[in-house]
Formats: sequence, C-alpha cells, structure tokens
Amino acid sequence: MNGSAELAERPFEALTVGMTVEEDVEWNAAHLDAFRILSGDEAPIHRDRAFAMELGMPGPILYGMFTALPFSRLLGCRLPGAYSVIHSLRFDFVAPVQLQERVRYVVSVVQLSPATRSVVLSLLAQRWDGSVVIRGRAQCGLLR
Amino acid sequence: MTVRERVQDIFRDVFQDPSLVLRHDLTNKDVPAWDSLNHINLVLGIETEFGIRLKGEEVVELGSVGDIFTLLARHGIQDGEAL
Repeated sequence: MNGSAELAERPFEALTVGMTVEEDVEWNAAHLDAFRILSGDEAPIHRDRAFAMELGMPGPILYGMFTALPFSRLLGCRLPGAYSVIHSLRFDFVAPVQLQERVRYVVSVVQLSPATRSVVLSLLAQRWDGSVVIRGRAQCGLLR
Repeated sequence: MTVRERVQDIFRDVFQDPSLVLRHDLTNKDVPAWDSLNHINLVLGIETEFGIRLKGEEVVELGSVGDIFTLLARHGIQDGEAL
C-alpha cells in the first residue's frame, strides 16, 4: 500500500465537479494479516484455499472492507482532503479481489451543495483489465 | 410524476421507508430520523431531483414538508407544470 504523505488542504470553494484523484495499490499478505488481526475476522474464505474453492472462488479472497480501505486515505488526505469529514459511505463489492492483484482506486466529485457545504463523490476500484471490483458513493461535509 | 410524488420519493429514499406518505404539516419535530445529517440528505436530494442549487439561508428555513413546497414554488417548481 502506498503510504504517501500527500495532503490536500482544499476548502469547499476550491472543489469543482469532475475533480478526480486516483491511486494504485497492490495487496500483499502483510496487509491482509494486519487487517485480520485488527478486525478479528477469521472467516475461512479469506484464509483457506480449499474452503474458498469449494465455494466457487478462484482462491482465498480479500476482505471486502479491507479492499475498500484506500478510499479512507483518498477522501481524507486528497479529495475532498484535510478539511472534510465523511457523512456516509456506500459500497457495492462487485467482484472479489485476490492477493497480489493490483487495483486502481478512483475518487471523483459528482455533486456540490454550497448550502450544506457537502460534496458527493463517486468511488471506483478496478483491476488492471478494467473490470470493476468496487463501486460506491461517499458524501462528505467540508468544515472549511 | 407530480412534484409531490417526487418529493415523497426523496423522503422515502432518505428515511428508507418505502411506505412513507407525505403530509403537508409534517415537521422535523415529528420525525426522529430527521436529524442534521438527513436534513443535508434531503437538501442534496431536492437539489439533484429538481436541478436547483439552494442557498444556506433557504436550507435553514426548511423545517417542514410545507416549507419544502413553499421553497420549490419560489424556484418556480410546483404541481401543474409539465414534468
């Protein structure tokens, strides 16, 4: 995972519809272990190859909520950035992700409401072949 | 769809209640889930559905369903228009 320290300090007035940020992540076993320990989620579909394949998966799949984690960094650090708080999040986990897969995370502004200082953003995660693994929506408030 | 039906759909979506029926006199005091976040959600829903951008002072005025219809009428949106 990219631990970039890039931080955007962008007030509401600097946001425009269509602004986009993206980041590529390649998941590895250390990431997965960290999430398993923190979440306490020991579900075998994430750890047991035979179990996962019995259920029709190509192998152990990553935790859905784990694969959505980069959106936290993108929203809080880059777009909308440091002055934002998340009001709501919605994710559709369209397809499973496996270890060593590289995923591109994209966040785009789709709606701005000056009256409420709120911004709605589309969330998209795709494999390199363009297939979608997560799509979603975030609504954030801007405190400055 | 009438304006009333469109506003009702926004309320149903925000409050996740597909059977909700709008009453003109329904206020934010009557609906426990009409909190500050859902107030923002209602405003975003109204702005999206009707293609308008509200001002901060207009948002503060919205304390009831009747207020919403009054506000929409001020923006030239009311039943009877072609939808």
